Amino acid sequence: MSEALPAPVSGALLELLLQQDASAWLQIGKDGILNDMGGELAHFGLRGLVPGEPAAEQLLFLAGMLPLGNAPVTLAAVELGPDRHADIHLLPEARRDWAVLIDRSNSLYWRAQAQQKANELNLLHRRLLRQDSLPTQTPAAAPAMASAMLCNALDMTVLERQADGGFRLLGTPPAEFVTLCPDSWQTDKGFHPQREFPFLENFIAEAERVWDTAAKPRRSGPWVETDARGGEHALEAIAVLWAGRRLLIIELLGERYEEHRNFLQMGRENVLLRNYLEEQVHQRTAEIRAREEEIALRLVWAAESRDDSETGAHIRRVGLYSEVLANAIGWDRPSVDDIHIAATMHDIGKIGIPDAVLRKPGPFTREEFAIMKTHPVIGGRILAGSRSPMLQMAKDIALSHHENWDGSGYPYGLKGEAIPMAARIVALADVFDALVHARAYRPGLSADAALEIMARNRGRQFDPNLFDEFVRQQPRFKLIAEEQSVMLFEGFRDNP
Amino acid sequence: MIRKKICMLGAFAVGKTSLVERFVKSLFNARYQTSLGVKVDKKSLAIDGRLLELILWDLAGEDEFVSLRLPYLRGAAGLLLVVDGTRPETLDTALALRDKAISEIGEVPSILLINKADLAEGWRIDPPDIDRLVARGWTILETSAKTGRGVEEAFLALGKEMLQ
Repeated sequence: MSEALPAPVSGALLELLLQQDASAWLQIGKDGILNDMGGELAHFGLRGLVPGEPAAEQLLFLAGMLPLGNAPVTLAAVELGPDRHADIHLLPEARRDWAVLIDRSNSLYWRAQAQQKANELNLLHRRLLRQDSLPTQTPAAAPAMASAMLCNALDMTVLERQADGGFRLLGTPPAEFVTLCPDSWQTDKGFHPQREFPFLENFIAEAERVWDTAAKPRRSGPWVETDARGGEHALEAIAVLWAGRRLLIIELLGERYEEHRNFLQMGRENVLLRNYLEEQVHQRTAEIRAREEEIALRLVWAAESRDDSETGAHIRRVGLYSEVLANAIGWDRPSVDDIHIAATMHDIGKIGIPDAVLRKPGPFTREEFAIMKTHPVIGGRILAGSRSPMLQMAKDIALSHHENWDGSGYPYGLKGEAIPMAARIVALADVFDALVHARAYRPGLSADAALEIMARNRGRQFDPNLFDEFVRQQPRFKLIAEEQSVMLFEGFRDNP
Repeated sequence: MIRKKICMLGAFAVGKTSLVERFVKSLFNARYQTSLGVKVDKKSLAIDGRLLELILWDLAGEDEFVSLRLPYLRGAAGLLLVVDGTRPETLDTALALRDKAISEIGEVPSILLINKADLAEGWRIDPPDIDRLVARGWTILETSAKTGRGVEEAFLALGKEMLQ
């Protein structure tokens, strides 16, 4: 477009409206002269148009159409060239000019958008006709003023940044806008909108970058102002550099804001309702789960009471650590609840290990260790075949909690992500709790010392990413580890 | 008069707008109405003989639909992080928002408000999580925009911290 365009503000406005789809626009004076144009004219094969020349002579589709009538007209699917079809919306007078929007013809969505624009411009036409006392303008200022009025009638206020840092008002601001700062709209004085609207203090800093670097127009996002009567008005500012002019367009969002807010409200209420229902379900099933957990724990305790190295509190804490870690990595609520119970059964296979091995105080021989290493398979067998998701998870944990990330574990030497995630979680929880609590043959370590030891096996024994999350959750784990009153189940404290 | 900008941060529906309304207008509307964008309010306070004008930026709550626009934080002298005591996940959101804010504007006084104290029986935030934050030096206050409990105190407390 030429630098000498007579209507920079309307051009900026229409560019903003049209910049996201290949559309174009024309402004034609009532004398039929092409005054202004913009958008993707080349996309429609419209090249070589000359402002100041009769429009109908340059644009065949306008032949016989001018002057336009009173109502908007859409010429659908006009062939502008080979494989170039457009919908052409002829919008009767915007006070001085006719507007023509040229839009892709094959998109219903954009057709609807164009119709919306047509409706808005038609509304503009009506509103301008109602304004009896327009300020007298010099001939040079008139086109810019008309363009600003185009914005004003679309509920936009156009301000131009001045050298002194103040703003000059272009056109007449919409009446609704004036109610927000009734004493400030004097066009002969510098205007500082950020004094009226503190929100703009921030945005003007962003706008400066747009103006200084000729960056793309930038929107502020919506904000809300309250007028003297307590009425709320949603606004949005747009910073535009147009032909060297630093424009700040402030738009009254009106119904669009309400529509957007209602949409957002609906979405958020749905989220709140979903969360509420999930919580209700969780609470209702908590009692059932508590019973399920107690049965599991009593059975686990029965199985493991032969093992002097295990305590009921350890079993319970492994469930608690696993729950925290599963939650931290984003598992859904039912799965987190499942691992809380399933993790406690990780060593249930020890029920199949003879006393002579399980209760042996000293180190194992190679044969004894081979027997000990069968407990995951025994546990997996005990828990296999259930339709309960919790028991299916318990089977995975029992079978795989001694597998190592690098494939060096047992019973199958599974490697990396082939090891079920639940088993990887429990492997960390089991080792951590064993290290921080005293055993008959050694004192307990501090949490930091335990982590230091475990860190040596990050990527070898433990899933490295999971280990990192485990470290991040340490404050929670420390609280669990330090909790002296962890009971195996209600009324049963096995390790005073 | 000293002017200070405060940003209200938190997940959606934790009561940020209600706290501001309660503080500025002594109003409480029980119907949840989501915020979109920013609303700026002002209120003056006298603190230790000094007049402080608070410029309150009520920023729309963050969720999967909307994320915080960091430029809004520019110039903030204090943060009020708001949590809904009945929704534990809103604590994580508030802490994450604080981290974002600090990375944008640097360290500024912050106070964590556990709102909806009138529903304290239904609170589901783990007390150990709160204890942990207190141990790390956080100022945490319980508020209820509905009853007004703790609201004035919260803004006063932040005002004092900002003036120190």
